[in-house]
Amino acid sequence: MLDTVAYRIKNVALIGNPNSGKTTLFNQLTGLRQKTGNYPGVTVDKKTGIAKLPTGQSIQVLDLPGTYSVYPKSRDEKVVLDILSDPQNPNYPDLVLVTIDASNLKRNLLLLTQIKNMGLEAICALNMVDIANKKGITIDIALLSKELGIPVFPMNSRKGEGIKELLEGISNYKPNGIAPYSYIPDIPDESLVAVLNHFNKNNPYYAALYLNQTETIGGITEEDRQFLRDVKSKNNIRGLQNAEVMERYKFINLVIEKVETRKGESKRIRFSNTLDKILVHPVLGYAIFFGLLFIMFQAIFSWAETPMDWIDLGFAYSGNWIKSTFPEGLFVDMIAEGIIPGLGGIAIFIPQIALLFGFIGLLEESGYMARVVFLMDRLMKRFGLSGKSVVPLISGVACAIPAIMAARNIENWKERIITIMVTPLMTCSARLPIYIILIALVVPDKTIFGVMNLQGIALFGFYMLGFIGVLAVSLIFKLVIKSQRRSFLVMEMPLYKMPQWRNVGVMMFNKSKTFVFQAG
Amino acid sequence: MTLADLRKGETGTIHRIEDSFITSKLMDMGCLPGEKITLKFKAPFGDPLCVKIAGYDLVLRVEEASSIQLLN
Repeated sequence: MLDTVAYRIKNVALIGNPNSGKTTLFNQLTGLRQKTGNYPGVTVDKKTGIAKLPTGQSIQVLDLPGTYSVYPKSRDEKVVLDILSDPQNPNYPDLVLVTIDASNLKRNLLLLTQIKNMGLEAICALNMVDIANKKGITIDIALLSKELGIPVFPMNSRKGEGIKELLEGISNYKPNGIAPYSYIPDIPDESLVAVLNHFNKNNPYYAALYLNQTETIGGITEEDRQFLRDVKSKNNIRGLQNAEVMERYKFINLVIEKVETRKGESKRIRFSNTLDKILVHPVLGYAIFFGLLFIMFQAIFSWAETPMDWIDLGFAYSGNWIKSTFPEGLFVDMIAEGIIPGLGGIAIFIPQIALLFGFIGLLEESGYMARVVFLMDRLMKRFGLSGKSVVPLISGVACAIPAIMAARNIENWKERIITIMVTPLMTCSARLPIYIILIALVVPDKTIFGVMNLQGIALFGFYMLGFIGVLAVSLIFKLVIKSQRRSFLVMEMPLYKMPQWRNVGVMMFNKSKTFVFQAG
Repeated sequence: MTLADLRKGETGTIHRIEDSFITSKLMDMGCLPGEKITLKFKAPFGDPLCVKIAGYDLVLRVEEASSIQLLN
């Protein structure tokens, strides 16, 4: 590994805490040269993209799920440990690019020290330096780089600042194999040696990884797990993981003391606090949330109408054109009356879906979605759901497929499975034309009380029926499904931010693509 | 006293976290013995809570908060 002449990097893995600007950096590095797939065996989105180095060489960038630690707490996060702990894994990277939120240095460094301790080559992208400065935080970058023993590149990925230097840093990277902090698990020597020998490793940290994640870590066999269980019970080994995290934070606190200076609370934090007084207010908070939802759906249906008409006309026209241009026959009929209207039936929903995910992207990007989770958690909990179920349920109004994918960051198995099962009950946009036809057939087009259209009320009733169905079925599942796991909600509340238009655009594009290729 | 007993705006110091499956998650996120923790605000029905820890804001339910014991 210690090849100082030329370290050829082909695969880079991007990793970082949630809200550390990882997605923005990924989009900046790869543009639209992205591909979404699945990791084998799990339904976790695998996002890869191609980045161009200044040397002209192309490298593959793998966007790993956001996580606070290599020790997984959810499905998504398990992927991270499986890939990074197993050099035989096809996705094992030559270099890990760790994004660090400079305004939150302490918590972000935990993951970085673990990654380096695993013997991986790493570079640090110190992101959101501008926000840190606005929060009154200054960081001595040269000293930080020295303390961590890895190159640190300051950047503001939202503005595209520092990307060029980062790419140069990747092409000039020299592996060093030094970990800033090496954790050695506090267990009897002979157990440590036994575990390391069993897995043919010489890095003592791997003993901690295997012993802590005996049941979950990938790339090992059932016999290996049994071996680990035996070692643990024989030596009464427990609580290693918490001890490790405490040790790491001790080291991190020393680093922070040296490299970081803080001045009092800034204008930016005060602004975020003032906004929170309004947006999570007991009355105003809910009023604003439901008001926003109402505006969102109004906008989706009125703005999407025109492009939907175009798509409809376009497909009808091309069908007719084929029929009138080519001689009649089975094959022409199949294309003109089968394939084209079939494709049209899918394509017609693209505008609504793209718009809905545009809005959801805006809410997530701005930091408001975390407030919605905060507001709704108590109510949703009663029905066996979590505050985090709100996002899939709202998305379900457009299309259940990407909506179900959005349920995967719910940590608790029971809450996740209930969310997944009830999301399809929301009235998705494909059901809309059927409802409209049914209503047109059965409900008279009359106006009552002067303003309310009877058919409109009926349509609203269908939506309500869907939502009531969601709550009712959730309640049943809550009572039926037994789970040992206690549910929990532990989530970072990010500062409010100006949404990044590019991220919203990429999300609209990717989600529509998921709809077309996975639903269609 | 636990974190769940704090009133809005009050600050305490973490003494220890009761052992549960959530302990390591809280620790990963910077809730460690000796850290100062401030209750910023509660959600409308008193649950979940928003606290300030290690320079950022964290949301957790009352149930989780009551597993965080504070120094008196």
